[in-house]
Amino acid sequence: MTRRPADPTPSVPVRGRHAARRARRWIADRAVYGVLAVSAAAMLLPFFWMLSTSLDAPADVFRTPPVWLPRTRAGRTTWRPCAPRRSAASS
Amino acid sequence: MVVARSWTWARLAPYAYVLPATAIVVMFVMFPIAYSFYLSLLSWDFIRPVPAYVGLENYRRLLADPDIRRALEHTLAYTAGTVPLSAALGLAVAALLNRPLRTRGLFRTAFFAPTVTSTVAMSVVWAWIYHPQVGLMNTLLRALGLPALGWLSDPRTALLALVVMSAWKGLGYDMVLFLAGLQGIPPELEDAAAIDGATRAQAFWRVMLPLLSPTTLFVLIISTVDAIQVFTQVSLMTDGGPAGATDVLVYSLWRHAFQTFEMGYASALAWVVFLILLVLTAAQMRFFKDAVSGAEAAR
Repeated sequence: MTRRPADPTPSVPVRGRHAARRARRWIADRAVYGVLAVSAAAMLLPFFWMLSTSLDAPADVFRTPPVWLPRTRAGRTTWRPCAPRRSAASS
Repeated sequence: MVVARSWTWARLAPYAYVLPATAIVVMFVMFPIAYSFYLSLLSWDFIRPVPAYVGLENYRRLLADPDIRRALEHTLAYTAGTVPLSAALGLAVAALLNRPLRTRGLFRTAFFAPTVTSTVAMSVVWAWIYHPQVGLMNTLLRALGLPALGWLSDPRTALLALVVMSAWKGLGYDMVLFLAGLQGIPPELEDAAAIDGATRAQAFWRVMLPLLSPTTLFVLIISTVDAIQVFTQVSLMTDGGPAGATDVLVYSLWRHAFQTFEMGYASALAWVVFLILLVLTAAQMRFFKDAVSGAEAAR
């Protein structure tokens, strides 16, 4: 937000020390963000895998490395039983 | 006459009010607990109309049963792995989130999501993640150039795989409790530590963590009670296998009760699990006694 890196022209030693401290604080905050973002992504990976598998064509379910985004429109076949009106119309 | 009746009513009304709730608790909680103790003294297969009274024979058999001893070892290993791992990770995340980050809600949701998801659904997903050929874990290991593992199909890694999955599932709950605990600590105490020249790390380890000990005790007791009773993951992901490597106490209990129909033996095992929990909880409370009273005095 309003946090900025070190003051570009630290003239008085005391201000320099403050600036260095602020810079360290800024770096620490970015590092916390980075650690949190990576670990949150790892926590959510099983959910994403579950969603992506539900959209896979049956043959893609077993593929390694996993197919993260559906490659064909076959996912619609997987999901069709959830939409009874449409399957009733097409049969 | 009227006075007398209203006096009686005033005396009896409270009992009438608590009667429905009491009846439910007695019927569905207290009676089954008492009945399970009665059952533990019997030899009963569900079918015979008159169970045989065997006294403490079931308990004597339990102590000598090598399968139960093995299940106890697995349960304790699982607990010793899961509880500290999820508590430590939950505490770490809570400490990182205990600052005015704009995206705090987002992160909290991400870490808490596994806790509020059905254990059954997540067991199925993780059984896939651990699949030796197409699972995510082995795909990841191969991408890093490491040898693939058998995970759930290898007796050496199956229990570890369950520990990892359960820590993933439990750390969000611990995080929420620790976060609440951290926010209950007056900020002046951390400021005072900073003024006294403590670094942030020192302030955390020497000031925040001791003040957090009532929360830590609660987290450890709750998650130990949970871990000792682990069943769903075992039942869905490994069936106690491979080769009995993940056979835990409650899974064993379920097998004796509903597969080999030894109700008396299973009930005795339930009481042994209860006694183990009682001892562990008492030990934890004893261990944390000084820290908790110190933290409460400091507030």
